[in-house]
This record gives sequence, C-alpha cells and structure tokens, in this order.
Amino acid sequence: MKKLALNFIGKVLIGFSFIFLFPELVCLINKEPLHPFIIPQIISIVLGYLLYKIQTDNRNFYVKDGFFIVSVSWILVSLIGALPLYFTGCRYIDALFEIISGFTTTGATIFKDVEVLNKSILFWRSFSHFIGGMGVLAFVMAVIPLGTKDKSMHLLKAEMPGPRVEKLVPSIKKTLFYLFFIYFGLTISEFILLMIGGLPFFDALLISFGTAGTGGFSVLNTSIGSYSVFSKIVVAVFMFLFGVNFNIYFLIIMKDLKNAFHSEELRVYIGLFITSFIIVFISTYQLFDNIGEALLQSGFHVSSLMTSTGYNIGDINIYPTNCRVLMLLLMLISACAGSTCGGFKISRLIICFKDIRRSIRNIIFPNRVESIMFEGQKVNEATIKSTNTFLFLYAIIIVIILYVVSLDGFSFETTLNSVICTFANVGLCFHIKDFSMFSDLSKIVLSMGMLLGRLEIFPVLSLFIDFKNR
Amino acid sequence: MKIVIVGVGKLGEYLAYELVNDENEVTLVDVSFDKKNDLINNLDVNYVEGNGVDPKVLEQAGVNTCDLLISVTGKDELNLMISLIGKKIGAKHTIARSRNPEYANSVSLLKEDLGLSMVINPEQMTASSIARTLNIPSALDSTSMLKGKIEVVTLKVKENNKLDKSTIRGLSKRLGINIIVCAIERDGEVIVPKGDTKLQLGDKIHITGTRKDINTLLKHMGLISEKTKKVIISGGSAIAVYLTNILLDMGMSVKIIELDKDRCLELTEKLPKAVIIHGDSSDQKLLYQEGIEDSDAFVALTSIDEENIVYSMFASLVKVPKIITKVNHIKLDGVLESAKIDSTVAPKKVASNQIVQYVRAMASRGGSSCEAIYNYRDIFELIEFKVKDDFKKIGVQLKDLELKDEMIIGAILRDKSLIFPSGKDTIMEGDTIVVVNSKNKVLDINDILK
Repeated sequence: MKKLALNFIGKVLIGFSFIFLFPELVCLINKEPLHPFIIPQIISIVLGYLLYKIQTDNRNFYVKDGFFIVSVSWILVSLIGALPLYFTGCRYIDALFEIISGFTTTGATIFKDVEVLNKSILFWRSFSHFIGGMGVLAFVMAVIPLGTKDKSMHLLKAEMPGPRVEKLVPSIKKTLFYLFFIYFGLTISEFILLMIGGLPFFDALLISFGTAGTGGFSVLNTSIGSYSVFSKIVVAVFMFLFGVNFNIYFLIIMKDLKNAFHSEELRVYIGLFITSFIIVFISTYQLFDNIGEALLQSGFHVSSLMTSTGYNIGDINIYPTNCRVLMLLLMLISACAGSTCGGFKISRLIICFKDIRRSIRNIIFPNRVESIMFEGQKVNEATIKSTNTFLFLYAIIIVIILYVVSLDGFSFETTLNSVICTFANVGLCFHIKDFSMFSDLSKIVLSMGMLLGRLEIFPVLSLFIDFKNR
Repeated sequence: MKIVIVGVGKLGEYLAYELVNDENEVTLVDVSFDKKNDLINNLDVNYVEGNGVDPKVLEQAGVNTCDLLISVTGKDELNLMISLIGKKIGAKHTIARSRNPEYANSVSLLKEDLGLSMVINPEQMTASSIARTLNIPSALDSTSMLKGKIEVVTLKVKENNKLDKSTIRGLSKRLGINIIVCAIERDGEVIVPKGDTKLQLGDKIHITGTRKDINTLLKHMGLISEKTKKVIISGGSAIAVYLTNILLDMGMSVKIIELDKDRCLELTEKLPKAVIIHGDSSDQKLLYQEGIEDSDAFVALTSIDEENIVYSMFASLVKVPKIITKVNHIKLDGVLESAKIDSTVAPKKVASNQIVQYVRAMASRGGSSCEAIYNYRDIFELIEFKVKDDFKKIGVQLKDLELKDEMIIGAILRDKSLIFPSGKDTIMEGDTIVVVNSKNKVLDINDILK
C-alpha cells in the first residue's frame, strides 16, 4: 500500500468535510436539527486527519495510485455521506443506497414520499448530484486547494468519464477551472430560467443541481410534472445540454465554432436524439389530448433517459413496448463522454462500431491496413482494446447484477429495468416508482452497480485485482 | 507563459520538466507518444501527435497564440523549418536547435531572416563548458557569472588540502579573500552552509568568488596544478570537434581516438592541427601507446554513456589528473559518485539551462529581469538579476532584508565594481545581484523575500 495514496485520501476527506457547511446552512435557515450533518462532518475531519498524518517522502504517482485513491475516496465519501439520512430515521442500507444514488447522479430513490422529508435532507440529496456530476475528487480539488504538487493526471483519468481523457489546456488546474466555469455557468443559467418559470427558490435550486449532475432527485413526488410548461421545456433543454461533451463548450468559449460543430460525437448525439424523439412521438401521439403535450412528453422523456437524468413529467408506463425497448437502449448508450452522464457513452459506441467495421473489412481484404480515426485523430490501439474490454465488462456486470436481483422474484422486465436504470446511472424506469421494495442484498448489489457505472468499472475492479503485487 | 515544444527527445523531455517546474503552460508535439506514457501522465502538459511541419498540427497545439515555440527535433533542417512556420502562424518567439557544425555559420547568418529569437547548439555549449573546466583543472566543474566577473567552481576536499576541519569564515579571514560557499555535498546530502560550518574530508563544495580570490584559495589548498597541456578525447563526436577547436586555440595539444575509419578521415579534414587516432578506446594497449599516463586530461565523449563511464574509470585508474565524462541520459543518481566519476557533462542540461534562462528573462520583461542562471544538478542554483524599480526592498540594508530560508545574496555588481555584501550593504536600482538559492522556487526577484 502506498502511503502517499492514503495521505491523499486524508486530504480528500478533510476537503469533503467542508461540503457539509452547505446543508448546515439550509438547516439554520429552516431551523432544522443540525446534528445529522455535524456528526458526519466531524467523522470526516478526524478520519481525514488520521490518514493525512501518514506522511511520506515518496511523491511519485502512478496509475494504480490514481485508481486506488478515486475508488476508495468514493466509497468512504458514500459511507460518510449516508449518515445524515441515517440520523433522520432511515435504515443505514437505505441511506447508503440513496446517497450512492445521489453521488453517482443516478437519482433512484428508496423514499415512497419525498415531500415529507426535511428541507436539509432534500438539499443534501440534490447537492450530492451536483458534487458527483463533476466527480467528488474534482469538486474537492476545485473547491479546496490540495497543494500544487498534487496535480496528477492519473486522478483526472480515473474519475472523468470517457474512453480517453483530454485536457483542454496544458495545466490541470486551468482545465479544472474551465470545466467548473462551464458547469457552474450552465447550472446558474438554468436556475435563473427556472426562477423566471415561476418555481420557488428552493425548488429551482435543487432541480438545477439535479439537472447539472444529470441526477434526477426531485422535490415533489410528481418529479417535474407539477411545474409550468415553460419550466418543463427549460429542464428538457438543459438535460440535453448537460449531455454534451464539455470540450465542445470550451471550443465555443474559445470561439472555435468550426471545430465545435464538426465533432463526430456531437453529431451522432444530436442525430440519435432526433431519431428517437421522432419514433417516440409517432408511437405515442394518440395517447395524449393534443399534439403539443405529446411533443413535450416525448421530447422531455427522451432527453431525460438519454442523458441518464431520470426526471419525468408524466406516467411513462403507458408507452408501448417499442418505445420502452428503444428507451432502454438509449439508457444503456447514454450521451457524450466528458459530460456528467452515466452509461456506455457515445464516443465508445462510435469507436466500437468503427472497430467492428475494420474487423469485417479485414476478413474480406486480409492485406488491408487501416487506422481508426475519431474526431480527426488516430485512436491508438490501446484505447480501442480497452474500449472493447469495457463493452464486454459492461455486459457481464449487467448479467451478474441481473441474476442477484432476480432472486427477489419480481417480473423479468422489472428486474431488467431496475438493473439498467441503476447501472447506467439513470434512476427512472418503467414499473418501478421507488426502490424500497427490493431486498437488502439487491440494494447493496445495485449500489455497487451504480458505483461501477459512474467510475466506469476499471478503477473499482482494479481494487480487487493483483492487490498483493503492488 | 504558453510554450510549445516540438520534438520530445532527450532535450525536449528534460526541457518540459524544467519549464513546467517554472509554472509555464507547456504543450508537446511529436510524431508519436507511444513510448512516452510516463511523461504525459506524470507531467502537467498537453500533447499533440503529429508532424510539427504541418501548420494544422502546430495550430492544434496552440502555436498561433503561444509565447514561445521551441523546436528540438532530431533534424536541424526540420527545426529551422518548424520555427519559420511557427513564426508565420503567430508564435511570438521561436528557438531552434541546430547542432551540425557545418550549419553553425549559415544559421547565425540567417538568424534574423528566419525570425529566430535564439539558436541553441547544445554540443557547442557543452564544448565551451568542458573547455572552461579544463582551464581550472582542479575544479570538478566551473562557470562564470556577472559576465565573467565572478567564477563558480566545484571542488572536492581531499586529504592534503589544508581545508579539512577549518570553517569557511576562518578560512576567508586567514587568506583575506571573499568567497561564498553556496552548497556542500556530504555523503549524498546537501548542506547549505553557515559561517561556522566546518568542512570535512570528502566534501564536495561549490564556491563563488573572483578569479583572483579563487586562485588564492586553490593555491592555499595546494590545488594549483600545472596547466593542462595534453588532452585525450575519446569519441570524435560533434562536441569533440567544437571542443578541439577551442582547446587548440588555448594552446593545448589534442588527441582524438575514434573507432570509425571514415569518421577519422573526416576529422583530419576538419581538425588538421589535432592528432586523430583510429582505434578502440577500450583497447588498453592503444591507450598506453597513445600516452594516457602522461596526459593531463581525459574527456570521454562517445555517444554511449556506459562506454564513457567505463573509459573514465580506466583513466582514473591510471591516475589521469582531470577526467570529464559525458553522461546524457543515465538517471541513476549516486552511481557515478560511487564510481568516482566527479566531473560530468550533459548536453541536454547545458542547453536546457540556457533556454530556461531565456524563458525566465522573457517572463520578467519590463521588471527586474533574470540575466543568467547556473543550475548545478538541481542541488542549488545561482540566479543573476538586473534590479529595477519593481524590487520591493530597494535601499534596505541587507541585514533587515527578510530573505527566505537558505537564500544568500552572493554578490552585487554596481557600476562595474563588485561588492561582496555584508549586512550593511543595500541593493540599489540598476545593480546586478547574484542570488544563491537551494530549495526555494525563484521565478521573480521578489521571490527571494519572505
């Protein structure tokens, strides 16, 4: 075990303890009890300090350390972050499921009725989306300076989604600055628009957090359904925007519009969205009173499920089977790499398809040599290989979780839905309103699935592989 | 500052580390980064894969908005071309490496037309650095600062040196000289000395002072050996050619041992006054035959570090008084010390020092500028600053100047007169000062203050 890694996790925990100040502020404003947040805050500081005291002269950082730090930090942060819910009367397993669902921006809840919850708890759930969207470590690194020496690329790689992580500018510090500038900018714009749309301050804030992280926890039991039409459109548009690779926004900021709109991934994303939107609209328009409502319903739900957000504005169980299958596929694929979404990511899908095309061409023309190009650049063979491995692991993990959850005895469709909607970090699915009906075993396995899905499998699995040989 | 480095070889890689360390934004360009995973993952840089001659690639790396483009690919022609293209698409400054001795004259002729800010020739720089060291044979390493007003030398305290156990302050007083000990290396550790630090046998000490005072000290230590006259160079590389020219001018006799027959013939054309020997430097008989025992200095300059080390070990065995070894890429710290190889040179470090110095000067344009830097294996550095009005403590007595820990003002140059400062001296606008720094990061003159 590298001491440096533990020391770093200590710093992350100390940084994380500051995040509790935000829900505590909500507590003070609404005169709610403070202890559910102060106790975990103290635990976080003490544990963090104990780990931080492990000092070492060896400042070298390797891939394995990045993976280790990210996975362990996420697990510890979830264990501690669950405590506020536990102290307000939830079972610990349920609390853990709920908060992992929050940090992984899934948005699957175990609460039958969210409207009875304390405001501070509602805030904590939605705020966890906001933190988890960019990544717990990135958030901590951006908010609390961890020292200039700790700017390793390995951490960013382990936490940021996508087959290959690119820095926007040479320095990590500045890259994080731009990413958060885009993230906060979009969130604030949505918040202002929702306020204009007539939402109360608290609701607008929490819905913006939920959209930013593509999470899906809401304030009302009807999700977004009870708000004005304008607000629904705002949420739908912003869900779509948060599904776009943040590099595109960076290029737009840098006034490099040509490259921004030439992005292959963006084009496939928009194409996939429009196609699905049209199919769902045609299949469902006769279910609604007027065309406007049908357009809104299909547009909103396609945007919500495709970006793994999971807000809804009506009953999705009325959709015909072809729409449900299509939406399950969209959930599995999800949106662009480098966004806050979960799932397989479109860029991986493009690389996989190009690899398949190459393999088939290779069978027909054995002597043909071909490089795979993506976004105008050659994709190196290591990336292709790891993308294929990822696809295989993605499928295998779904099957394993599916089997464990099937022990609960629900129908096949419900079981499949529950697994995909948690593993792809979506949080909304057919036939399931909340997850309280599942057994403890299923809840634990689904929680692990959410973590695996959010951290993109490799960092978490690496904890269990070749541990002794480090 | 935004810097783009094209060509990530030994020099490019080393430069990237140094420049990132100085808080610059660095983007690397090379044809392939397949074997450089370690570099791009551990260093805070961006990278672009592609040919640097392609304007699209350069633009992708941000050359159009960068402050400095450094082209250090393996080929001189390519470097010049890249600099030219970079300048065309908007790079503010360009530095190119050109190391072929045959281009040396033509490049300096074209420097302005090509818009080059600087042409670096690591081989030539290395040669002059070796020549300087050969000029003071008892020093392991030497350089000059303040345009030659003061010298920086590295010495090893040996048994009969009369230095053992004396303090630095006592020594200066007894001899009536002004010298400053910048750093002491003792058993692998670096000590930043204070006035009462005692010197011990085996210490490696780094001293600055005027040439005259250093000579007095060397005399006292019994280190003034006879002037170097006979030099044997192993390996007829480009450095050897540059070095031989300098040494011949200084009146030394030079023998070059080269393995390749054709290269030997080339050398005879280029260096008619030098003695060229065709043979293998690992052949003991040949070395004896060419008089290695009687030579004053042995310089190992073959292209392979390992060979250089072994040849130097042999030269040390036959007690050649001065041995200099070229070690360009071996990074095993401590190995060379234990093999008793004290004087080493690395072209990439010599060149990178020069570039880092240029970059710092660029960064501080307008304010007090950094005129020169001498960095000794990252152990300590001497930085020369031209003081302008942005220095916060102008006119304050040095004893009241709250300097950072382990920071020394080594010398002040005021209107051509050199001051070795005491507590009562002050720093005035227009002075040039030399700061001895070992552990802090000094990018700006005000960085020396607490």
